Amino acid sequence: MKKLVLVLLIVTLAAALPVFAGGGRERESERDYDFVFGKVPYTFEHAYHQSACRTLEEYAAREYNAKVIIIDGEANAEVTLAAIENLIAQGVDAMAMHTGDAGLSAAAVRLAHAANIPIVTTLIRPDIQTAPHIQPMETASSQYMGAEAARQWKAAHPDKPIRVAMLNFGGIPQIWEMRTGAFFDGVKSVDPNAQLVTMLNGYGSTVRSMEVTLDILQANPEVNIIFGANDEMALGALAACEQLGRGKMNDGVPVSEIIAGLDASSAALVKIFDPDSSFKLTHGAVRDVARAEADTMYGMVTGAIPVKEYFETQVLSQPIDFWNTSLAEAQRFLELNFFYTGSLAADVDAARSR
Amino acid sequence: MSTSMKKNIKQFITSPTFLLFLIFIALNVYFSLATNRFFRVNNYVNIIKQSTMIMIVGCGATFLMMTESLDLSVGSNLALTNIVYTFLAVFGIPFLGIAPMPLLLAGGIVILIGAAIGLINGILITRFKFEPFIATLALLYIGRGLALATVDGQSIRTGIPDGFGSIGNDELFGIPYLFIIVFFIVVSFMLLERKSVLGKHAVAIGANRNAAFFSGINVDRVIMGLYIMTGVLAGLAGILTASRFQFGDPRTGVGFEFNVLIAVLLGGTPLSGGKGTIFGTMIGALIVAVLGNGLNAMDVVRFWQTVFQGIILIGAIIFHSQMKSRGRAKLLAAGTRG
Repeated sequence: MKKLVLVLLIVTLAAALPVFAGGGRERESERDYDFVFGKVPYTFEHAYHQSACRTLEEYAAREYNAKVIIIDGEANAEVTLAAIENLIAQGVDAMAMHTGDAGLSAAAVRLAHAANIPIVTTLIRPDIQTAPHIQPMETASSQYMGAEAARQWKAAHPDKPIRVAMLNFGGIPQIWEMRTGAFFDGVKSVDPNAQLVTMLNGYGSTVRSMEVTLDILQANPEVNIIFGANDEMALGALAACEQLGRGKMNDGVPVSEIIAGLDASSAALVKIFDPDSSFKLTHGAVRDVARAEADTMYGMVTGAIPVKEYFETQVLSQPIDFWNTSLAEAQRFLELNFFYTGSLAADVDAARSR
Repeated sequence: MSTSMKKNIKQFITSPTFLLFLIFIALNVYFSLATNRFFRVNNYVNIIKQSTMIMIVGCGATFLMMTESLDLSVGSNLALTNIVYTFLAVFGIPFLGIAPMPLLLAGGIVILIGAAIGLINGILITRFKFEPFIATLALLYIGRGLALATVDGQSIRTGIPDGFGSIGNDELFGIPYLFIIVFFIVVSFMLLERKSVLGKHAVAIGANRNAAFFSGINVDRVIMGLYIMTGVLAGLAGILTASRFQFGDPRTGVGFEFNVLIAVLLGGTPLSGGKGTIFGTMIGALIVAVLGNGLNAMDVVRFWQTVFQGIILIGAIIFHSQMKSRGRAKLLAAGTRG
């Protein structure tokens, strides 16, 4: 009897949980929307994608009276494609996908077009260019960061040669063009003798990047500029440096190394504006990318944008760094892009006092 | 209606598998009421497509678990065979100067690789007396590592030959090939379970290994055979996955082994072995797929979905243990009356 009651309790809990988890409002409210859009983010584990999805949901509802169904791509090709299939099966009016894989993007475009559903891709250009694409202009911002990092290092340590280490996602060729390669180009524009010591896969994860960076610094202690291809990896690199007694700056003057990341999340900016931390640069574009996705989906659904023609909507990826961005500008960036409601200055102070 | 038929129907209606089927129906009703986007023909086709790999590998895994064994390497086996199949079809074997292979030949080689992984599992467990958990965990790592090393961690998406995606995407008289393949495999394994000695031997080994041994069953040979069979099925799933997505990816199948395990457990095959049904596993696989799809349709984020999977698993285990206790109580009561 006790077990039966327990089973009933579990069933009740299981039935009720989706409602608490945010899924219960859908049936009543969907009728009130003019459109249903789908979105497959790269992975919901990254702050960037969580904010991008939230922005997309709010903006699409406000501007186009559209509901957005979000299915996590889980940074996995198989799951991403299954998510696209699910959205097609559920009959959305249009969809957006953000993945790190050009071939996967192409497969998704083919599937969506076969089902006559408009699709827009983001960041990684698909192998086949037959659908609109949103392109954050990361290359120029990454070059800028590389050059700035090199300038700051040379100013503080003119006698120490620049040695760069990088953490990438692995298996995404366009990341070299937009992030890692562009960053190194920026470094070389200041110091042509700079060397790229190593580039390893940080798997987009803080924990994995910390482990990888510990290995890098063990083998190459001379590394003095580290670039993580997202903020999670840069934060992992910083944690590894701190574990080794590095990761420090002297009121913004480089001591052991300079770390750069990408996405400009609040966790990153708290470190960047700490004058004693070696994580100092990042860039990102959340709001404008999400808005461009919504605008493009609406345009395709209403016939204003051709569904099967390639064109790029370019979006600025705003650089933010300790030396050239004011705290007020960074605060504003976080509010607009990451739904940040705190005080960056207070958060930086709190982090320093720990 | 004959008495025996009535008896069979009564037996089925009171079986845990039938109750599980009712739970599956209840889930469908729940999601249909909760969201407008669930109850659609296209969505059901999609759900079945997405559960085909679990169903295929689940057939072998059910037999294994009946013997109190398990295979954690099926996800890596799937990844390795997926990438090798694509590699052979696109590049051949360059260092031996062998040109890209016809799909049938590449598929044959890959099935052998799947079988070899099963064979190694079997040898480690039966000859070297490794615990199944340890042996198959080791193969999980080896398989995944080999899959990544084969292509330097890159996926293969260019140069895919014509016809590569046929078996995973095309249809015969409006029925996807995938469904036809799954149907034949499931029916074959149901027959194996019910009509062959293999099914009886698997149950006997799981119920009491020593008794099975002394009653003349070659326990090691049966277990070895089941690992090879599961390896072959995982290899086939690797080929079908590559064909369905029309690319090869060494990161395919991460966590697949746990989805198979959950489907088999939900289906009523306990880790302690001694019983189980293929039909139950199929319902288990569909429950996993319907749950994921329904929660997606309800806009529930993945973090919560994993919580649900855990809750459903706990519920299933309690449900099955409840049924087991009832069965025991009935037996005792019958014994007392007798």
